[in-house]
Amino acid sequence: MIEVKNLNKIYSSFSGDVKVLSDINFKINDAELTIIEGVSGSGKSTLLSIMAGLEKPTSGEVVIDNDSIAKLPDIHISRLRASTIGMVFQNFNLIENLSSLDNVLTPLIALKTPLKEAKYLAENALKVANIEHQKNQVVSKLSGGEKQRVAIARAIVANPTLLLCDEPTANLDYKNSKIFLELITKLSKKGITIVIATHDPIFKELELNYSLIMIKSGQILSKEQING
Amino acid sequence: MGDLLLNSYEIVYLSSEVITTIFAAILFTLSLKLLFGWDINRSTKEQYYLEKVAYLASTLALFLFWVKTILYIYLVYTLDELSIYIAGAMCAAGVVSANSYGLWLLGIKAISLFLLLLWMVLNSYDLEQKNYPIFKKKIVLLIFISLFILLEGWLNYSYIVNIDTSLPVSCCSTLFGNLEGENPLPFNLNTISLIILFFLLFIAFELSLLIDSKLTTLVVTPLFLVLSYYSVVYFFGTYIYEVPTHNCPFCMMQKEYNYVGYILWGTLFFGTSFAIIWASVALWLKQEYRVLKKLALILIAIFVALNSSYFMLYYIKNGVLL
Repeated sequence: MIEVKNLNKIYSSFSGDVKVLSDINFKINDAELTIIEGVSGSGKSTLLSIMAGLEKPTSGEVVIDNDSIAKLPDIHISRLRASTIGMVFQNFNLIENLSSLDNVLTPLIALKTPLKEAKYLAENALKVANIEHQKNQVVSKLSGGEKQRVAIARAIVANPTLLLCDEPTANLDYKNSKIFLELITKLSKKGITIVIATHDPIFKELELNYSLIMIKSGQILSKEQING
Repeated sequence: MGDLLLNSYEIVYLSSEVITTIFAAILFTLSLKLLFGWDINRSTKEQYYLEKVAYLASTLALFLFWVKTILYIYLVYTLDELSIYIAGAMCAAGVVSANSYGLWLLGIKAISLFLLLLWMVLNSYDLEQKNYPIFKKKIVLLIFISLFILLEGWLNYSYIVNIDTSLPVSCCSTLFGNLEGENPLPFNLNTISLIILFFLLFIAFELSLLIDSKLTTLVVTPLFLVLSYYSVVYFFGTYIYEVPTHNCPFCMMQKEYNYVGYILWGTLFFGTSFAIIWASVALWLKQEYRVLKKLALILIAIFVALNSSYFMLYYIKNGVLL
């Protein structure tokens, strides 16, 4: 279970403070799919970064499995991120001059998984993401859709219980976005808790039940349950 | 007074120490903020700010440890270089005894380094737990450390300013020798019993670490540290200098003796410090840092082996003992 409590985020600079998130509260149950929808600059990415432990809030907290992650010492946040959280970024954040397989292997290095086991897990993750046929291809030679699938394989390789996706279809065409939806459906049915921050209307085509959180100017406008 | 303030070695040393003193003052104020403001159960803006402050404080402590270690070595080297300006001084020993602040300065510096080492281990333990169980205790220690470093800053200045180059000082033979026939060894020991005790304590030290007997380590290590000092100055040192009447803890840090004193005193200091910290933390927090134990075993073994090698090589070369 994920609980976001009284979350606020202010970015301070010499030109003044910018309040990015304002008193955000919601709960996500295990194995639930949640879509956070809002226009660019509404605070979706910041919210996801805080949920992933990549950023600290200004006040408030995110509790994942009884751990308030922003209060954990760095080493515990890193361990939690490595073992429990998978993240898919808008710009994929892959290492361009490594092969797909090597990219997917990287989280397992941090977890000190033995190489033989790591290779097995990475190939399996590539299979789940339907990109196994490109496992030896250098990432820079892949298309946008293929890169996204490698990024998903990397996010799920350590068997996370929580998958966070930040604008995952922003750089994809319609066909590849549909492939992404299929993947998300498959992962959601496996019991992974998934949170997607997006402004892409394609997610309305999801044939799954999900929670929709509408966010604007750092504030939650509405929360509703959608039956797909 | 203040004759040596414009000496180039002193300028480098004092200006570096001014920086560490300023950092210690910052560390002191940060530690006070943390002591009175920290509450891990709160999710407020102030608490998240204090988390950043805690990170800054630990970075400062780490920085101070490394800079202080380097500056300690540099101070001893500088004292030796300054001996040419002070009448009667033949090495750093004479310069240290030029006024009453010198020995205090060296002692406080060693204590600060030990406390910084201890703090780093406690900090590492605290960060390995999820809820910072010893946070306030480690911050109290950090306050003491910053006060020690501030005291060091004052001692640095007082010591250097109060060196009067017009007054002759005693050389190391007078300070550490037994010119008047008095026994300089503790507990009225003679040299043979000192060395037997030294080796017995060395064996007890290594065994206590190997069999994980923390209490024995805590008892044996201070005794070993004290007897090691006397053994090096009054026995092994004579084989380093190859002169039976030359008793000095500082001359062995000179080029003529391949700077071996730095290795001897360094391995002794860090070896005994690691052993005490390993045993104390294991007893108090029930957490074993085996790397500290291994380092203590290795460093003290190097210390004893290096000392013994001078003694044995002298015997092999000359067929006699001093």
